[in-house]
Amino acid sequence: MFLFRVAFTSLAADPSVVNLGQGFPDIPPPSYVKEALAKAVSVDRMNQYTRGFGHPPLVKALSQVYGHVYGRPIDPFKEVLVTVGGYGSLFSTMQGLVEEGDEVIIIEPFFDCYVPMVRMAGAKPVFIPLRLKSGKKSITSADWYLDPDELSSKFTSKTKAIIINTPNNPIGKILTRDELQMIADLCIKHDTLCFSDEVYEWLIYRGQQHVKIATLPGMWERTITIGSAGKTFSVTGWKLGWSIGPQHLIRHLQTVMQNTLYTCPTPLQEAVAQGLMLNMELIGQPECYFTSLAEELEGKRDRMAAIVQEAGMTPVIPEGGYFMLVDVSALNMKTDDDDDEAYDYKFVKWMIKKKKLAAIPVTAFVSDQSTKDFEKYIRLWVGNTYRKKIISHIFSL
Amino acid sequence: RSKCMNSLIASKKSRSLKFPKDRVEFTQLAAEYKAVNLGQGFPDFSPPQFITEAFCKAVSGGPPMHQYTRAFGHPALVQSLAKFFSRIVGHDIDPFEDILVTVGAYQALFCAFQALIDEGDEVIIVEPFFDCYQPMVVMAGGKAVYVPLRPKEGTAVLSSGDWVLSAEELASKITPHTKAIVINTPNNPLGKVYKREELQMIADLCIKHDLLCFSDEVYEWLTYDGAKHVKIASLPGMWERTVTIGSGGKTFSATGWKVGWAMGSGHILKYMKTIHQNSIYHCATAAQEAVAQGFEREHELFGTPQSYFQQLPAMLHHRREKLASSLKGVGLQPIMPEGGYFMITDISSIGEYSDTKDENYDFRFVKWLIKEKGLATIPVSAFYSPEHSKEFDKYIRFCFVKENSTLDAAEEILKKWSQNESSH
Repeated sequence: MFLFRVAFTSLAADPSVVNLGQGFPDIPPPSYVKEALAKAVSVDRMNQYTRGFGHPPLVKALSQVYGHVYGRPIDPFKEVLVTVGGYGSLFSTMQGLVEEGDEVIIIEPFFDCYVPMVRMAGAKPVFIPLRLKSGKKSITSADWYLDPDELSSKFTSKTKAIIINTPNNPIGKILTRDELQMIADLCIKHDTLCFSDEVYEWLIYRGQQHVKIATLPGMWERTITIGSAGKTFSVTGWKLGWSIGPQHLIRHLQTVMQNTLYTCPTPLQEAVAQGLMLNMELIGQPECYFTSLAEELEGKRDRMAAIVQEAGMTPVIPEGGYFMLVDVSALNMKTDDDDDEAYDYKFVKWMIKKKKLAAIPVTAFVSDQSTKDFEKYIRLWVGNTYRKKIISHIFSL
Repeated sequence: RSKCMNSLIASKKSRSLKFPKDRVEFTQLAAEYKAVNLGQGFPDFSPPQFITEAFCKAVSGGPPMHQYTRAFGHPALVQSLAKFFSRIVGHDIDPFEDILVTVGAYQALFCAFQALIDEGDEVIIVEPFFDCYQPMVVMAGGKAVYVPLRPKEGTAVLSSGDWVLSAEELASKITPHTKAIVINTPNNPLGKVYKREELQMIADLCIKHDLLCFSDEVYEWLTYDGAKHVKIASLPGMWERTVTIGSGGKTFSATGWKVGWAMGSGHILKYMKTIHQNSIYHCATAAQEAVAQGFEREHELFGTPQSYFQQLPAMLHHRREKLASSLKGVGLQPIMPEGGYFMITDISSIGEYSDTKDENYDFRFVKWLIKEKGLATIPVSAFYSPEHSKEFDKYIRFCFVKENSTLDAAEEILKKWSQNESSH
């Protein structure tokens, strides 16, 4: 995936190409968050080092917001670590808790950094694919499921952890309470950890509910939950995230932090703290960004799905997150590229060159053994605003 | 018993690292006793206006300023760094191949050790050293080998320039397992600015034994009394084997921005990029844009009196003098730093005031100074290996990059202390 991402970025950097591939918004972040940042920079102390494990106003704000969400008190200094994006939390978690010889279960399709991070810790990734229920006409991300027997078979005496991502990138699936309970039962039975990547936790569409696995009985003490300011406030370029979990696990992430980059930027943390506190007050109201962003994106999601269908392809309606899978097989596009390459890679390259439209091939998110099951899909970013007309035009074939 | 509740849950790697007890402990103690803080290494004055304005401008720039930028470094920043440093290093630096932007110089160091040090490699660290080098060597599976700077024999040791590296001692530490040598110039905590001949001596050994050199140059613009900062990467044969590390935070007095970089030949940098890509991936966009603007401005004003790289050392020169005279005024013997943020002082002329015997003398002294006198400093043996720390436990480190009012408050404390002494 990395190689593709690098090659893809230069292909798609052509300004005439409409980029629906990258996972960041082209909608502006809320103005109060930008104002808070500009204000922070005008305070002397905010331009110097802050507390290594997280700027006190930020960890306190996280403790309040998540204390409310989890329904339990969260110690801001011992149970929270601020990191450089959700990415940095994943890294600190792997380096702190996973080692040589461990196995880590990864559900496919997966955010592509999980595998190199597991390997960098000297451990072995063990894959289990989400499988598609057959026989359905119109498809949503809820139609993918984890086979309980298959999942159970992946746990061995070497299993250190399972990584889950809910809402999922790229499919947009939100794991149900029952599915999470099934995973929890296995974690408890085999005494493993759970790393729950919940960076899209607020991007939940109507009728869906995001459940935190750490709130299930027996799970708080064995779960690290990862969140992202970038995804929460549409500021991916701020690169701030956090890990929340029990002290006896978080302290190891803190040790890694101390020995890798020591501390995160102060003014950015100050601004995120203010954004969180402001929205904490607004929970339940229409202005609350935690819910208003999802509402805004839902309309875009539906419009994108309609356009895709008009163009003769099949969208997979996501329950949450930034992305939508699109089944391109009905177009029956023949490309004369290298036969060894997965179909979706060939399709995307053709689409960039001939249709000036960029997307991401979904097999970039799976292991080799699952390529055949996913190569008819491409991933689109849902939220593209003003380019609907162009996309529509390009898609008319 | 649940393995998850067991301390063995941590990876071997993280178990081999110390939880940062000391740094946390001293910070807490200083806060508890509301001490005048000359311990921590960051300015208590504001960054220059042009740089905070650049940040605000970036913040109000379009949506791209708040979204991911190029992973290995925001294009505007790597281009301005390449332009600026090419003429100093005397080598055409490729902005996209030869530079990696990181979350502070700290992360650049991390990438260097992770990328370039293998299990079993030896890394020579010149003491006293910035304390993160050793745990980073350990985390990479390497072994730290130490060689200390020593005060010259026979002369009065008044300046950091009087602390030297023995060529024989350094050469004796090199084995077939040696992979790299780490230097820091200007040095934290001593303030030594390595002279060209000293760097040449190190370079000769690097070339002879085919070693890498990690050169931590975060304080590169802060030299005093005409001392000149020389980049070891500019010496013949060194560009291809040196990773030079720099800091936007120290350059522009904005340590909280955490924008740093590594510069070096692309064939070395590419491994560091892989580590970066698998650990952090991107750095914050707006902060990089602001630092880029800062370097554009400094490029225009280089060598002129309006350059921040002239004004900051000139201002700190006076602060350095002020602190030194306060210390001398109470009979302490400061070692005048040729560069950097810090000054170390010999405290051996002062008797023992504390009870706990297991700790190094300077640790005990620093705690006593915080509790009894309300003045925070850092013990210098914290910057030494366990094998040498007892030899160097009679120095404490002061940071003089502070407002005059802070240095005045410190002077008051020192005066009162010395008055108490003389009245006995």
